[in-house]
Amino acid sequence: MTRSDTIELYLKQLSKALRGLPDDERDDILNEIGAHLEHREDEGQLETALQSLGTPAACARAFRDELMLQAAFDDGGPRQTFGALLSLATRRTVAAFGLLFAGMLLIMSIAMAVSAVVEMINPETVGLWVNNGGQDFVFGTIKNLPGETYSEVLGRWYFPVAIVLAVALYIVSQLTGRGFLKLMIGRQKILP
Amino acid sequence: MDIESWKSQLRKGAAELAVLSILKGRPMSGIALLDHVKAYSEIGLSDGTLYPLLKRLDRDGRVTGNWQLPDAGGRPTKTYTITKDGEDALRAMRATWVGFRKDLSDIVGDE
Repeated sequence: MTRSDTIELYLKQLSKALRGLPDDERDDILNEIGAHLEHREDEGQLETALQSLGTPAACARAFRDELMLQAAFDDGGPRQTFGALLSLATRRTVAAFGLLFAGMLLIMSIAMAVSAVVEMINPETVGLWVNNGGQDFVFGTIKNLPGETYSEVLGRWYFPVAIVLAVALYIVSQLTGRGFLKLMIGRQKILP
Repeated sequence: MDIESWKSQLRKGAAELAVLSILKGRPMSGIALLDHVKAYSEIGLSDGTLYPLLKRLDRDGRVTGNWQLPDAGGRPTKTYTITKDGEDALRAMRATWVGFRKDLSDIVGDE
């Protein structure tokens, strides 16, 4: 293996180890380390330079560590700081809306359970009313019965249907609630 | 005790101060910086630590790196120049360092 092949191999492995960094960052690092090794090769110091750089994995780790440090304690890059904050805020907003949605599902579930109880006490005021054309319906507990064009279709089936819907809505609200909660408190990746 | 790990902690902040101080004098390439600090082995700057540090300083806006072709011909090299932000940071770091060195020398002693 000639010296240049040694450099090529090192850069190839370094490139692999730097995966995940933005392309321009990675290219910049590879160009500089490549120029450094070629320069040392010209001086007949390639072996020493390779030893000093460490394995490609160790060299990549050193870059990652430094860049992570910079991102974590960023005091010089308003664009990066703003970008990170924006991305965090977007996640928070999505999560907040998600939790609101889960809360609404939970309220619907409770309402459904309440209407099932009312059905037991006062069956006439609870039901699924469908108008003659079938385009319009009222489901649940109402004070004033709909006009004559509506007829109640569930009858005694209202109770089990309402209970099943209440349980289903409860489960969905719990699942979505937990999912969005995780999104909200989830760790924010610092590096781009 | 693990003196090496303690040394590397100690050197982390010092390396940045050293590099900015050298670049304050004149713009230099990574190779030239390494050759310059070779005489100061206690600072602990090596090929494997200098380039990541320069990369961070560049992203921090404390130095800028530009690829240049040497006048005499040969390979292109990236030359680093300290920026205004870098000079401000250097001034603050230097003031801290002078106070730190004095206090610690009083406590630990120089011998």
